[in-house]
Amino acid sequence: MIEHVSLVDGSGPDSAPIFAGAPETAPAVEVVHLTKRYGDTTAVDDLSFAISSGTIAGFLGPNGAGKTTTFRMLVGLATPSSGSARVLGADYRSLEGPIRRVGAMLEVSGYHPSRTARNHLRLLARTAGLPDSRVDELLALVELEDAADRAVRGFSSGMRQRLGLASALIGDPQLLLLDEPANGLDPKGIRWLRQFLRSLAHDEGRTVFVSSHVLAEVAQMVDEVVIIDRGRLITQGPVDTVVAHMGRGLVVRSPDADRLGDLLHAREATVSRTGDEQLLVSGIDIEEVGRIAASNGLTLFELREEGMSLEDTFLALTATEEK
Amino acid sequence: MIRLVGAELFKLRTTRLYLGLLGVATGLVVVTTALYFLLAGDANLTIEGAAETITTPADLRSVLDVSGVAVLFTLVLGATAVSSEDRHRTIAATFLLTPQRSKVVAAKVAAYLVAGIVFGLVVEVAATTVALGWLTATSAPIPWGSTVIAGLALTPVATGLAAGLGVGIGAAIPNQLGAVLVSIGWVMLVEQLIGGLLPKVGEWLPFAGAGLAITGEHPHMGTAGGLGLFFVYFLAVVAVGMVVTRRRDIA
Repeated sequence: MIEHVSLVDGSGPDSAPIFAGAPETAPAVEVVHLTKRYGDTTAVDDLSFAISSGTIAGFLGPNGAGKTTTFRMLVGLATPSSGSARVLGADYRSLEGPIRRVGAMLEVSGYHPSRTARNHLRLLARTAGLPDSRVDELLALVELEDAADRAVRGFSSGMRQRLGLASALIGDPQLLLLDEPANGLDPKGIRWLRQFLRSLAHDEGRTVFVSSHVLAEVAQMVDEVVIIDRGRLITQGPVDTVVAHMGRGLVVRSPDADRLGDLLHAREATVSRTGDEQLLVSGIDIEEVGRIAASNGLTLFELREEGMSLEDTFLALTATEEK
Repeated sequence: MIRLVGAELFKLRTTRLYLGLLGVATGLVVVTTALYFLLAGDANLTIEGAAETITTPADLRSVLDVSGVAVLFTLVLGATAVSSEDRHRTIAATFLLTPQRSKVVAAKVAAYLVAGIVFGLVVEVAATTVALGWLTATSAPIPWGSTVIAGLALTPVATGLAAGLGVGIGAAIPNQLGAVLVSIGWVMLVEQLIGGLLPKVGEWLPFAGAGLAITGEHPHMGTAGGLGLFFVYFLAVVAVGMVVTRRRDIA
């Protein structure tokens, strides 16, 4: 079995690191020793990280990594078993008029099927004491004006995502927490989302913390990443720093990929399977890989060094493969 | 708080459940009242026959008390207030807007009290219209009296409180089907069984016991006592609903 090996251990109790260049004010998002258990299952495991204000940060990890659970604790929908999750320097539940400061689009959110998009937004606006004119602005912003008076039950997943974004933006918040906003979007929709979020962060100065299990969806727009897997922090920091930390990777193609992977893993290399016979390996010299293959009589079809992209890094850090 | 109550009433206005239940309850009461006039009285089914059976205020009240079935409807309506939001996963947005969950439950209780009172009024207006229309059509005297007025005043109070109590049940049992089944099962099954097997205990149950008191048939309590008994249950269930709502995670 090839297991992933974390190169960056960010689980130290006092790490709660703030990215380089963060202002001295409270981070927009601050998670310290956060743990959430459901019976015997630990969904989030001693997680610590912080996101500085004014950035667009990606929250990455495979499905089931604990991203949604972390978001739910950040906005007070779930109570941590231990540790803390704060937004804008405070517990969400203690914020006065929270929707005007933090906008959240969560996977756990839904819509009443017989309510129209306009009425859904009106409901939010009225509860928050905002005028109905805000609803019209948002419908235009997310390009849902034509469907505004249709019941949500007839919406495509892309339209639902747009309505979710409009809901998160209704209070004109400075911090946006978006949980898998690209889910269900077609390529055109993903491009629209990317431009939309980039504009929110870079043109309007909001902090955007956006999760995804598909790195390609957010890789092109984020300044920073937090990568988690199985509830634990794998690495975090500016995209360039995370990639640089991983260094160059080795592409290894061999009909004996499984056996070779085990041998390399035993030498504490980070190994992930990227194809039928292909491995992506880091943390070990190319010469050493060649020697190990030769001394064990393993055939190599290909062995080359390759600069790792963020995608490679993400796969290397989170991939787990079983024979 | 007023804004929150307004938002809860807006939720009711923008979905079809309230009007659907109101339509069914009103139809049921109209048909039942009409059937009484059709079937009561002499065997020849003359329209005068039934009217002749309503000669005292107590007779008239017993006919109009059919509106009391609305209590079961508003109880179920209330039970969906929180559980329907769980079902459609709109509860997350509700708690993002108002993280103080007890305030949300309190706002729902207040909104459903109002909605329940209106529900009761509509249903009893329908029953009263049929009954008085029939009596008038047959030129029979209408036996007004304080007991009739009291009955008319109590029905909306009971439907309002039942809706609020239902909110508490739905808050304590966020699964919509579970909340509705428990509500109906309690009134139609549990209270009937307890009332039949242990009548002394049944006298103190929220629907059977308070119902008897409100209609003046309780051995120990009058109308005010019945309302008070029901109010105690209402407060207790809402309190349990609030505690559960505050503590639970939103999945």
